[in-house]
This record gives sequence, C-alpha cells and structure tokens, in this order.
Amino acid sequence: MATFLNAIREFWLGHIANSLILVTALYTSLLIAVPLLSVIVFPGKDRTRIFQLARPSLGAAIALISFGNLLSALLKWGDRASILTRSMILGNSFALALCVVLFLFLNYRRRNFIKPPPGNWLLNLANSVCRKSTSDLISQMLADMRVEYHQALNEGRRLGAEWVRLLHYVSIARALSIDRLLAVVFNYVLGTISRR
Amino acid sequence: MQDPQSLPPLPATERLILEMLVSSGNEMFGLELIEASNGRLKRGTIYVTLQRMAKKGLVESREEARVAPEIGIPRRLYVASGFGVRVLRAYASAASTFAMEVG
Repeated sequence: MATFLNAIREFWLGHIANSLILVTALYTSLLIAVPLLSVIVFPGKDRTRIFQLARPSLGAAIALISFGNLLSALLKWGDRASILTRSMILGNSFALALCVVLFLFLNYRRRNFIKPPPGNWLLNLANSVCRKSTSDLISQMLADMRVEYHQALNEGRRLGAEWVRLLHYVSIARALSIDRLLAVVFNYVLGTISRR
Repeated sequence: MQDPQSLPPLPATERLILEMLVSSGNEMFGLELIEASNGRLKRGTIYVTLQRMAKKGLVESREEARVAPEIGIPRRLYVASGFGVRVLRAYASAASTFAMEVG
C-alpha cells in the first residue's frame, strides 16, 4: 500500500497537473473559438446566450489552468528553485487570486437576481446519492441554515449571510467527517511538496 | 433509584441536550439548542448527536407545521421523551449519591 501511494506521489501528481493544464487549455480554446466562429458563420444571429454561457466557463477554465500551473510549479519547488519556477508560482497565484476576486465581484453585482435557496444542490445530491439517515441529517442542517441565512438577509447583512452559509457548509462537512478525509488528502499533497 | 447497570450510557453532550430540553419544557429546534448552550454545543455535532439520541429513544422529534404558501425544507422540533427524562433523573440521583459518598 505504501509503495503504491509513493508511486502516486512521485509520479502521478505531476502528470495530473500537466493533464489538468492540457485539458483545460483545449477547453478554453473551444470556449473562445465557438463564439468567434458563431460570429463569422452566422453573422445575423443573436449570440447573447452563447456569450452568457461562455463567460463564466472561461473564467473557471483560466482559474483551473492557473491552479494546474501552480501545482506543477509547486512540485518543482526546492532550495534551488529556478527563477522560472518562482515566477510561475507568483504569476499563477496572482491569476488565481484575480479569478477569485472577479468571481466574487460578478456574484456581488448579480445580488438582486432571483436565486434558488442556499444548499439546493447539496440537498438534491444527498437525496439522490446518500442513505435516508444521511439525507435526513443534511436536510435538517440545511433547514436551519436557511433560517439563519434569510434572517441575516432580512437584516441587510449580506456578508453575514454568506458567512452563515460558509459556517453551515463547514459544519455539514464536519458532521459527515469529510473534513478528516480532506485533511488526509491535503497533508498528503503538502507532504509531497515539502519533500521535493 | 434505578440500577446503574441498566442505564444507557449518557455522554456529556447528550446529557447537556437533555437537561436543556427538560428545563425549557418546550420543543426546541437544533439552532435554538445551539444558541441556548452558550457555545457548549457546536453546529457540526449537535445534529448527529440528536439523531443518535432519537435512535436511543432519549428524545422525540417531529417536523414543524407549515402554513400553505410556505415551501422549503421543514425544520425538526425536539423534545425529551419520557424515557429520556427518567434516564436524566437516574443519572442526576446517581451523581448526587456519589458526591455524598465521596464527600
């Protein structure tokens, strides 16, 4: 088991990072190419929907490429890391942070749109995947989260509402012991990085 | 006094929840229990504990009644069951007996 895990650590993590970059780069070119081609091939058509769909996906793709690059550069990190590695880490961290800030900004601008209640996706996922006792537990926690969330929104505390949502998601993860699983994965990845 | 061997185990968190439910005398939501506990109960643990207590028969629960236009997930109200109250009293009397004997 230890040998198998070491093989993953030594070999596959780098490949995963490279594959992530490659697949996302292909996806990004498609996201840019399809709307552009639609302009050229169907000049008179309304392309609002295509652009609406492409924009957030493009942002997500750029964020994924930055993450892949960052992971790849971090794997090469060491006492004698080259200037290229260091600048890759710096540049990609900046790009990733920019994507997050832009996402938050756009989300903030869309605040007046009608949205589904928080945790809807989680409830659907739990109802279709989990056992009845687990989905009952999640629905109980989501019911209380919605009460607290909407209370904060009614008081005009938008950031407070988002904070409540975050707290409840963390507590759901803790209740389902996902936090322990994530901690093991993060320790493993960080251990890999620090040893290189 | 009930035989201590026949009592189900009652961890500190479960005991705290039972005490709060008994002392309030009303049905309570999970969130109300968290607020009333002054930080002794956490969001991440209370619902699992309540589910376990319901399985043991220490608490009873029901979904809150909804008025017609209301939609969404109904919240769950909890109250100490008769068995839960008896267990809590048995533990309290066992604790006081132990305190007298030690003191």
